[in-house]
Parts: sequence; C-alpha cells; structure tokens
Amino acid sequence: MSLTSNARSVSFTTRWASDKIVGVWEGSFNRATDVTTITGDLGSIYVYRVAHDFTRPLALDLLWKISGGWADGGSTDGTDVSIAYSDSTYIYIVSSAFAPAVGTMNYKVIGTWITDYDATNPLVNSFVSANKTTVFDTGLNYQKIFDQNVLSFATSSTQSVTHLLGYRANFKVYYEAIAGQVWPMYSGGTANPFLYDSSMVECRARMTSNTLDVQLESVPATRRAWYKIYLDS
Amino acid sequence: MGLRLDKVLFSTLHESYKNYDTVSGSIAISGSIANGATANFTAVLPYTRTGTRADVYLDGHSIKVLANAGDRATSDVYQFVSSETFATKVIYSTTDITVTISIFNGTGGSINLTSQTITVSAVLYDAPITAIS
Repeated sequence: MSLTSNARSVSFTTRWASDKIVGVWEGSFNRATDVTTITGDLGSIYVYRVAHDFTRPLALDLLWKISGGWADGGSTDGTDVSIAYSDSTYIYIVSSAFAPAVGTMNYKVIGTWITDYDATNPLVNSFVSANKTTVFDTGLNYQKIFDQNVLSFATSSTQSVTHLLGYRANFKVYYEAIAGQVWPMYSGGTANPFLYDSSMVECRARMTSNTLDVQLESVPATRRAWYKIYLDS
Repeated sequence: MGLRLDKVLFSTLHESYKNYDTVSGSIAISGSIANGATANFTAVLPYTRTGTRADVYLDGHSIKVLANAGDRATSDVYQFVSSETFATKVIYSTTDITVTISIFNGTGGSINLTSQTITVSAVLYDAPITAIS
C-alpha cells in the first residue's frame, strides 16, 4: 500500500499549514455619528473602529450590509464600497460614503493570523466562536497553504512568486497600504474611494498556472505584502 | 494562556476556514453597448450552510483574481475592446451569492464587446459567523 496521497484530496495534512482565525467581530453602527475622521493630504475618510486586543495587525475579511444584500468587503453593493483593515490596535471599517451618510451599517469581520508579521511571535488566546461549536471537522476541507511569505517592495514593481503547481491555485494577498496598516489587496486607481493620503499604496495580484504576480503601485517607501498560495484551486 | 501561532501549522484552539463546497459558474460576455450605457452580466452561485463566507474568484484570460480586489485588479481577467470600464459586485442573499460584472461604455460611441467567458468560483466556508439575514 502506498503511503503517498494527493494532498488536494484530503481535508487536512500536517505537511501544510492552514489559516488560523483568531477573532470574529459582528455588530452595527450609525454611519454618521459613530465614525471617526482620518485626514491625509488627499482628503478625509470616515472609519468605524473596533479594538482587537492583539499586539499586531490581522488579515481581515469583511461582510457588510447597509440595505439590501450583504456585500463582500472590497465589493460595491451597487452604491457604496466598504473594506476592513487593521493596525496594531484597531480594526477599521471604511466606506466610500460614511459621514454625512445616514443609516446603519451591519458588519461581520473575520480576523486571521499573519504568520511571521514580525519577530515578536506573541501569545494568542484561544478563539472558538459561540456561533459554531465544532473547531475541527475531518469531513470538511481545510485550505492547505502551499506557500506563504512576505514580499518587500522598495519601489513600485511586480514580484513573481513561482509555485509550479501547474494550475491557477486559490490565493490571498494582504499588504501595507500605509506603514503599520494591513489591508486586503485592493486596486482602484484614481477611482479608489479609500485614497486619502499620497503615501498610500495600491496592490493587485494575479495567479497564473506557475506564478503569483504581486504588484504594488505608488510605493513611496518600503512596503510589505503577505501572500498565501493554497493547494486548492 | 495562549499559543505562539507563528510556528504552528494547525491549532485546534482556533477556528479555521472550513471549506464545505466549491461552486462555480460562467459569465458569457458579448454584444454591443451604446455610448453611456452599462451592460450587466451575472452568475448566481448557491450555498447551503448557515454562516457561510466565500472567497470568490474570477478566471479568464489565463489569469485568476479575487473578485473583491478593486476594479483595476479584477479587470485583469477581461479583454478590453476600448476604454470601457469593468466593475465587479459580490452580493450574498440567504441562499446564494450573486456575482455581477458591469461594463460601462463611456467611450463616446457604441462598442462591440469581445466575446469571452469568465469563470466564477466561490470557495464556500462554514465560517464562525452568524447567519446572513
């Protein structure tokens, strides 16, 4: 009997790491009165802040709703666009239209650990959500991380990570839009509704059959990007 | 008491993204768009579990991108015919995820789109969140 297996066909293997969710934050806020202003040389954005109680930034995924359906973070709902980012203290939810907007935004934020963000390797408390009671289920498929690392950009450029999987694998990229802030990759050019300071960087990433190409644009000083290439496609 | 996660492959003390299914569809883009008009192309991807969150990908032009990465990034999967704009929208209902690609023609004249198919896939996770309502 062969001891080898196709890792894509098993739910979990100790050969590959998996994502570690360290927190979930859900709630709602008033879009006009509960937001804080952050001002840069290009203008202001209005953010809703939640303290996350970790000592370094997290990779965030967002679902949000103003009216109608829930939209994915980074996606428009047809009117606004919202996204979530973090620094070492807070989760920030930012929208293309907060103040003087009116109404309520509902949010669901999922925070994932960024491996080797820095050398601190702090203690992290256990997180098991009250929403789901099963942490590990062998009947489900875990996103097995084939490769993950940090890329450093001193200037605007594209860096290619060779994976040679031969197929277009699933992936994620987070990056420092501003030093100390970790955003999900986002690139909107002049139409980017979140650009409030000329020091902000944009990020786009493309998966091909053999490479992940990560591009940072408008880099004024060294910025980092963290990528994960999953075994699944 | 905590755990130092930087050196941990997997933690049973923490939640993880548990993938219970991957659903896909395709968006066929073709036709003409009058100046000043928008054409919408949609794929509807069903999900079944309460508290689902998905990573939604677009695949076209031999490139795969995340559908929520901003219009400049997602447009890498699209073959432009002129200077039309490309936008993506990802919306959850209680039973499915609707992915809409919108192409706006502001070129000053009518355009005939390049016929192309973009594959849309949603990696569905049994996520530790409350139900979409």
